[in-house]
Amino acid sequence: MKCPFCDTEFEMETLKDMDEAISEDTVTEDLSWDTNAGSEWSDDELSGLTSYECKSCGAKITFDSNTTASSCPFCDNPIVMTAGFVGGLRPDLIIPFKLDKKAAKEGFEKHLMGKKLLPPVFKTQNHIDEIKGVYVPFWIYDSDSDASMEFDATKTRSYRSGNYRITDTDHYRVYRSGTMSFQNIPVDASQKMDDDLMDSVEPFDIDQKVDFQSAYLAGFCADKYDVSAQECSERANLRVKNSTEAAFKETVTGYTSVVTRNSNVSLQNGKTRYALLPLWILNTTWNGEKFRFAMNGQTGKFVGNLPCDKGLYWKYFFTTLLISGGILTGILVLLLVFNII
Amino acid sequence: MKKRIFYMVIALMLTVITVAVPCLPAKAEEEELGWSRVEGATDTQKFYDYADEIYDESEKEINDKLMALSKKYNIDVVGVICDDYPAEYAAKGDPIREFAMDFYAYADYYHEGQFCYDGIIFMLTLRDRSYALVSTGFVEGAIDSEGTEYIFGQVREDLSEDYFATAFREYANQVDVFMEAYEKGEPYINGKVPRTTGDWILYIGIVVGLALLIAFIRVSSLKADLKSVAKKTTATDYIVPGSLSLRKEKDYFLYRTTTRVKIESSSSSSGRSSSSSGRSFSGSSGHF
Repeated sequence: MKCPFCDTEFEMETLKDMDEAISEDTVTEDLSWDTNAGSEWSDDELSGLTSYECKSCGAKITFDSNTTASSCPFCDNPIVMTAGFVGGLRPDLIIPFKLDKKAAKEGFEKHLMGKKLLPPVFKTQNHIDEIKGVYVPFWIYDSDSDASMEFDATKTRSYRSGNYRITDTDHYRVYRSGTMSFQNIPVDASQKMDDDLMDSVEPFDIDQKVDFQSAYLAGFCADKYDVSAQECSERANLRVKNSTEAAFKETVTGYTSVVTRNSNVSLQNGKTRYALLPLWILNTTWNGEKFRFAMNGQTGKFVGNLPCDKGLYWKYFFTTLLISGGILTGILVLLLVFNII
Repeated sequence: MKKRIFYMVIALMLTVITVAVPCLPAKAEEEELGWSRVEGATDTQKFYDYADEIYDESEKEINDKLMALSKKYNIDVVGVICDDYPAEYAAKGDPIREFAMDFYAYADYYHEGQFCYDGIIFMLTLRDRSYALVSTGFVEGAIDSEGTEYIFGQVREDLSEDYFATAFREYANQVDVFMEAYEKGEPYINGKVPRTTGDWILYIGIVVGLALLIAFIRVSSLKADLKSVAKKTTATDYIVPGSLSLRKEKDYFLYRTTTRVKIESSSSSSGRSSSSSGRSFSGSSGHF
C-alpha cells in the first residue's frame, strides 16, 4: 500500500498486525486510588493527647499530654492549647525517630560546611537549639500500574557511496504493555510543609514502620493532615506515571531514536495509608527572608536551601576571572612563542 | 664510415629536437593551448580586468599598486579577473589553477630587459566563481601555499560581496607584508602567517571569554551547592524490584527513508604543481 501524499510504501500484513496489536491490548487510563486510609482513635489514646493551634499559620499540632510547647514548629510563633484533642484520623503507621536532637544539630552543621558562598554570619545568627522533632503527616501510596505504550523508533545507518553520503532510516512502530508495582510512595499531607522540601528529604524506608502508638509522640510533636489523600494523589499519580513510562521506554532497545507516541497508564490495587514520618525541622530568618531546613529523622538526610552572600559571590567571580585569565594568557604566550598558532 | 656519419647525424638531430622543442616559440603551444598570449603582457601591465567588473580609475589604481610592488621586490605581482577560463581547461583537474599558471608562464614578464621568473598571480573567473592564487620562483619561498590560503582568507569576504577592487587592493597589501617579511629574513612560511589587529582582538576575546566562562561556571557551581531542595517527579525509589512484567512486546517495521547528500569536495585545494610550460608554482585554488 502506498501513501498518496508521501509515496511511502507499507506492507499490508504489517498494517493488519498493527491494527490487531492496538485493538487487542489497550489500557484505558484510570488513575484512581482507594483513599480509605487512617482509622478512628480510641478513647484511651485521645485522653493521652493534647492539641495546640497556631494562630499564625493555622497548624494543629498534637503532643502527648506530658509534653508542653510554646512555639509552633512550622513558623516559630506562639501557640495556644485547645480544649483536649481535636479529632482527625488515627495514623495507620509511624516511623519512630532514629536520630536524636544532637544528631540533628550535627547534621545542620555538616549541611553548612564547605559552602563557600554562605554568609559567615548565617552560622552564628540562626538558632540551632530551636530545631524541633516533628512527626509530619504523609499519605503512603501502593499500587500496581498497568500501561500500554506506543513508540516511534528509528534505526539509522549511514555509509558512503561514491560522492554521496547515504543515510538509510528504518522506521518502526513499537508496542509495549504490561504491569509494574510501586510501594510506599510518600506524599506529604501538610499544607504548611513545602512539597519540594518534603520530596527532597526522601527516601524513607517504610519497611521499618511500626503500628501507630501515641507513646511514640513523647518528646515530639505531630502535625495533622490538612490535605486529603484524594488531593495528594495527583502528585503520586504524576510520579507513578512518569516512572512507568520511563521504565517501559527503557525496554525499547536497539534503536537510534525512540519517541513516545502514545501512553495509557492505569492503576490497579491502589491503596493509601496514613503515616507519620519523623523530621527534624529548623526555621530561621536571615535578612528578612525565611529559611526552613529539614532532616530525615530516620536516615539523617539534611536538606534546605541556604542564602547566598552577594559580596562573596563577586569576590569568587573576580578571583577566578583573574587567575584563569592569567593562566590562559600564559598559555597564549607559549603558543605564540612556539609558533603553534 | 657513411654509416657512422649517418648515426651521428641522427643522434645530433635527436639532441636538437629534445633540447629545442620545449623552447620553441610559444605560437605552437598557444595553438595547442587554444588561447592567445596576453595582450600587453609587458612590464607596464600587471592587472587585467577582462570581465570589465572594475571602474577604469580603480583598475588603473590597482595596476599602479601591483606595478609598484613588482618594482619594489623585483617580482611580478599579477591580478586577473575574467568571465571564464578557456573551454579546453574544463577537462583539467583544477582548471582555474592550470589557467592561472599558464597565463603567468606565457605572459613573458620581464624586468629591465630580462625575463622574470619570480612572481605571484591572483586570478578570478566569475562564471563558476573560482579563484587561483599561485606563486613561482623565489616568491614560493616568501608566500607558500599556506601563505596563499591565508591571503585568500583575507579577501574572501570581499569577494563573496563582489567587492573585487577591494579584494585586489587587499591582495596587494598582503603581498607587500609577506615580501617585506621575506626580505627581513623572517618569511611567513610553513604555517606562520602575519597577525592582524583582528587576530589580536580574537586572541584577547578568546582569553577574556574563556576566563569569564570559567569564573561563571565556578560561581554557579558554588551557588548550586547552596540548593538542596528540588521537586521529585518520579517514583523510581519505590518501584518493587523485578515487578516490571511485559504482556506485549511487538516491534513493526514500517518503511525506510533514504537521504543522499553529495559530499562536496573541498572548496579549496593547495600545494605545489607545474604548469604546461614546466614551471613550478605553489598556491591554492577553489571557489569563493
